[in-house]
Amino acid sequence: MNAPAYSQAEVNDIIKQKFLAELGKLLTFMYEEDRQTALAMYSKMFDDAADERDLVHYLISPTRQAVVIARAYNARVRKLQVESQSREQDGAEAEAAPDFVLAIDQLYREYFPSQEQNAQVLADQFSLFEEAQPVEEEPEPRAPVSAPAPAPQPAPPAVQEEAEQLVAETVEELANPAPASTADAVEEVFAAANAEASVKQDDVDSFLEDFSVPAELPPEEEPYEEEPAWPEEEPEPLPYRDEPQTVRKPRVFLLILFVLLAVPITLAGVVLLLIPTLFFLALAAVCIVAGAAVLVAAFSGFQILADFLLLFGAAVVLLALGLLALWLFVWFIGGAIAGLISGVIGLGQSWCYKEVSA
Amino acid sequence: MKKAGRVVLIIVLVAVLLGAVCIGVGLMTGADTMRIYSALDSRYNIGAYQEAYTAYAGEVIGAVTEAWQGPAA
Repeated sequence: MNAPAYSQAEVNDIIKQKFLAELGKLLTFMYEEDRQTALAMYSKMFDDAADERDLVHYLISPTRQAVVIARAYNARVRKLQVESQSREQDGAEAEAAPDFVLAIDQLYREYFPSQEQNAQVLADQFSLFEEAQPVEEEPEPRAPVSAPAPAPQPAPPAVQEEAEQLVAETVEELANPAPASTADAVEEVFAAANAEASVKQDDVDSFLEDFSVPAELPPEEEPYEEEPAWPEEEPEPLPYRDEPQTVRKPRVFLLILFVLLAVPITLAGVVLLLIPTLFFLALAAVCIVAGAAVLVAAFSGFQILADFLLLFGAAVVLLALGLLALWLFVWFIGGAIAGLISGVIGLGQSWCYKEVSA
Repeated sequence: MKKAGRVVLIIVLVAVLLGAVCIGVGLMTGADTMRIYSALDSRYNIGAYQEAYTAYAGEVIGAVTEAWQGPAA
């Protein structure tokens, strides 16, 4: 291992930036304000930590923290919270903290147990994320001691500022990666955190085991992504239906023979079917024209109701027969003739093609 | 196609039934077919069309008969 060419403060800063950059990439499922809030809270955690390596050991990996946040984050509920909060912006009582804030806050309190006892200090620490609130004892055990919900919209200026600074640092970090010696030091820290994570087993680990998707990662990111708690076994192939891949190959001689026979037979069949088709077309035309003429005559030239009824009945019957003949014409065109052609084609495909395995 | 055919069939049956009822009621209430024919004849000149079609059909039948008897003779 090369000797670090950077000071301890610089290495710590790079550790923080790398952790936050990786975490920021994993939190894209959140609303932007919430994501910035979460990143700012983690950033604050790094700032407050006396030893950042120890904090990384505690946090284990960005992936693990993303899972922790994802389990506590419900985008739909969060949207409703933001909307209701924006409606009751003036004079409303403090909203309950979002679950992901509570989750991060719980991590914070677990890592800084001494500061949890001092409410005043914790209030100062979290005043970065929300407007100052009086310290009150919450009945809910998971609620932060003095941290009501940070409203994503509008975000506090301090959060916005820190988040923008964080994003800028992240971009700069990604654009200008640290030299090898510093990167080695950072990776050493994360590798140690991963080694420690192999000992820990809790619900997050079981969640990661259940939903882990093995993927090839760039070598420099392996210490972040590889959770030692994950199973080491080879990824099983996805289940798929056992259908052999086949291709259709023509039997050329049979195909030529079939074409030579099928084309004249099909043409003859089409011509034969055209005779009743045209007959029904002519019958439909005659019936409809005659029915219309009788109907017009019934309404225009007859004064006696009995004669009118007789003619009206005849016109209706003629029109009905015309409609029936028209339907038969359509059926011959679209059903019989088209069916004959498609049937011959299907027969040719079944006779003249064979399926062979690819 | 099958559903459309069923709908068309129902419409045709209803129309035929309605027409049959109208014809029956008309005949029962004193409709006279000769009076109707004369009225339609005066309006559409049905007699002339009938004579023309009869003459044309006679010519066709005569030609077919000649053609049929020609080779036999």
